[in-house]
Amino acid sequence: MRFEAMLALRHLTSNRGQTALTVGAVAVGVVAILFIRSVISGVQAEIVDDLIGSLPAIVVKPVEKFTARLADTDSRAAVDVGAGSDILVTREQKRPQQREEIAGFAGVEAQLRTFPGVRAIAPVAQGGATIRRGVKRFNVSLTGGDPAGLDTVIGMSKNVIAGKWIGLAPDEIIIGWRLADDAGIRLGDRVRVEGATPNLAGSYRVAGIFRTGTEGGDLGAVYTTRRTAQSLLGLGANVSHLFLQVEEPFAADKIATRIAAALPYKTENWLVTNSTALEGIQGMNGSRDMISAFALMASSFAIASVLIVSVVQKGKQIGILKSMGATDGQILRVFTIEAGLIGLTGSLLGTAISFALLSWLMTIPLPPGPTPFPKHTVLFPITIDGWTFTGACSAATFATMLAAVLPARRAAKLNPVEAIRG
Amino acid sequence: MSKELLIPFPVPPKAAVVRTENLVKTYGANTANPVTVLKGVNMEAQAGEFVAIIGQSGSGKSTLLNILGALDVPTTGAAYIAGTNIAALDGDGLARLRGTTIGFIFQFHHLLDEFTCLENVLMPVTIAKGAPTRDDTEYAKMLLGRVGLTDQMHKPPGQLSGGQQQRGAIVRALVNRPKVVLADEPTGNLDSRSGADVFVLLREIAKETGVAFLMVTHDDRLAKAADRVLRMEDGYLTEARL
Repeated sequence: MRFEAMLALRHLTSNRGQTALTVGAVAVGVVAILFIRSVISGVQAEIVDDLIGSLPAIVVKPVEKFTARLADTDSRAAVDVGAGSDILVTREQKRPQQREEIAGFAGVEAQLRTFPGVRAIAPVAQGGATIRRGVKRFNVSLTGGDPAGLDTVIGMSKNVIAGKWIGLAPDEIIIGWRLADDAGIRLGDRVRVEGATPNLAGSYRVAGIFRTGTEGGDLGAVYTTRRTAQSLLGLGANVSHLFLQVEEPFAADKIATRIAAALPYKTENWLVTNSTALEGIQGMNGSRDMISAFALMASSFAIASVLIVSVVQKGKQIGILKSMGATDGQILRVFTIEAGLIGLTGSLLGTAISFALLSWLMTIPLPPGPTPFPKHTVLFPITIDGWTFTGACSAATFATMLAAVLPARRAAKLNPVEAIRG
Repeated sequence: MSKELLIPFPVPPKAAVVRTENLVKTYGANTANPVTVLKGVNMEAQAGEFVAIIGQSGSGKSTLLNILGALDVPTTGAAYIAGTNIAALDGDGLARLRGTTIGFIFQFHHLLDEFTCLENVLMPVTIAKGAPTRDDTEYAKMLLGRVGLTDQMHKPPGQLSGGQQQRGAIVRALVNRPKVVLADEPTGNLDSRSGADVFVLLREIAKETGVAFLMVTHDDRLAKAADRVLRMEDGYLTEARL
C-alpha cells in the first residue's frame, strides 16, 4: 500500500493546478450542501421554536360529556370522508352549558410526571374573556397559570417585551402588543376583564406586554395567575387543562397517545394542531435533500471527468509501471487513494469554508421590517450542527471515491503494451 | 569500483534463462482476417549472453519481446522465463514475474517526471516491496555510479540529458536483480555517440552481472557486437550472420 499511497500523493503534488481544481470542486459541493442544510435547519428550528416555544407540546383536557344524539337525519356517508378515513363531524351533540374541568389536578399532574419523555407540566385555567377599555370590547383567550411553571412549558418570559411575567401579582395581567396597540393600553394601565359571566369581572393592572409573532397570540391572548383565571372563569379550585412540554418535540404524538390510553383525559399534541406548518417543514426537508444530492452529484461528475482525463494522460506511465511489476490491483488502488485524498481534502476545506461563511452569515442583522417588535434578530437563522458537518464531509468523500471507480478500473485494465505504445 | 559488487546472484553458466517452443502469436484469431505475427519461434538465451534481434519493421520483433517480457501471452506454444512458462500464469503472476525476473529498457526512457532519478530507479523495488530497503538503495546508488549518474541521482528526469535518462532507465531495469533484460531499440532515441556509449555500457553490464540481454535493434553495427544475432523474418526467427 505504501507504493500506491506514495504514487497517488506524488500525482497530486506534481500537478498542483489540476489538484487544486478538483479539490475545489469537492469543497464547493460541500459548501453548497452545508449552506442549504444549515440554513433550512435553522429556519425549521426557528419555526418549531416559534410553535413549540409558545405552545404546549401536549394539552391534557377533560373528556367532553355527551348528552344527546343529533337527529338521525344525516346518513353515514354524509359524515364520513371515505372508507377508512377519519370522521370529520360527529353525530354527538356536545353540552355547551357544562364546562369541562379537571378536579384534583395535583394528582393528575403527579400521574403525568410518571410518563417518560414529559419534561414540564403546568396546570392552567383557560377560557374566553373580554377586555373592556372604555366602550371598546376585545374578546380574548384568558390563560392563567403559575408564572414560573408556565414559563417552563411555553417560555412566556422570553416573549415579554415590556414589564414582567415572573412575579405577577393576582391583580395583574399581561397582554399582547397588538392588543395593547389596538386598545391603546400602556404598561401600568388598569383594564376591566370580564370572565365567564359579566358578574365574574374585575379591574386588573397591565404588568407586562408580550410578543409571540402570531396574530392569535399578540391580539387575542391574555395571561394572568392561575388563581385570578380560576375566579374569572368560575372554575373554583379546578383547572381546565394541563399543559405539557416534552423532551423530544417530535415524539409528542406518541406520548399524547400513551397518556390518552392510560388516563381518563383527552389529549391534543402540537404535531396535529400545527400539521400545516409541519407539512411545510417536510416539504423543506425534501427540497433540502434534493439540492444536497444534486450538489453531490455535480461535484462527483466533475471529479470523475478529471480522473478520466488523468488516466488517459497517465496511460503511458501506467503501462511502464505494469512492465515493472505493478498489478491491476495496485493501479486500481493508486487512483482510488488519489480520489480519496481529493475527497477528504476537499471535504475538510469545504467544511472549514462553510463554518467561516455560516458563522459570518449568522451575524448579519435582520433589516427593519413592518413589525416594530420583530421576534428574530438575524437575517439567516442558521443552525451549525456537528453531525451535519460530519455527514456532509463523509458523503462528499464517499461520493468522490465512488466517482473514481470507473476511471480507476479503466486504469487497472489498461493493456501495458498498448499503453506504452501510446 | 569492484566488479564483484555488480554480480547480483550467481548464475550457472550456460543456463537457458529464456526459451521458447513453437511460439505462435496471432492477432484477431477469431476474426475474418487473423494476422499471425509469430509463426513458431524457437529460441534460447543463456545467462550472461547478449543476443541481438534484428529484422524489418513489423516483422514481429517487438511482439516477441512483449511475450518474453510477460506483457503479452502467446496464442500457442510456450515461453519459459527462468523456467516459468508464462502461458500458465494469471495477471498477477505475470506482474510478479515482470517485477522479479525481467527488466525492460524501452526506446524512450519512460522515467516518471514526478520522481527523481534515484526514485525512478528504485521504482521496481518500491512496487514489489512497498518501499526500498537500505540495501536496495545502496545497490541502486552503486549501479547509478557504475553508469556515471552519481551526481544526477537526485535530479528529476527533465534535468538530465537524453543519454543520462537512458542510462537511468538501464539501472531501473537492473535494480531488481533480474535474470533477463529485454531492450527494445534502447539506443534508437539517442544520437550516434550517446547510442554507442549506451550500447557499450549494456554490453559491459551483461558481462558483469551475468544477466541475459535480448536487444532488438535496427542498427547492424551494434548487432554485430552482440554474442549472437537472430533475424526475425516473416514470423520466423533464424540465426543471422552479419
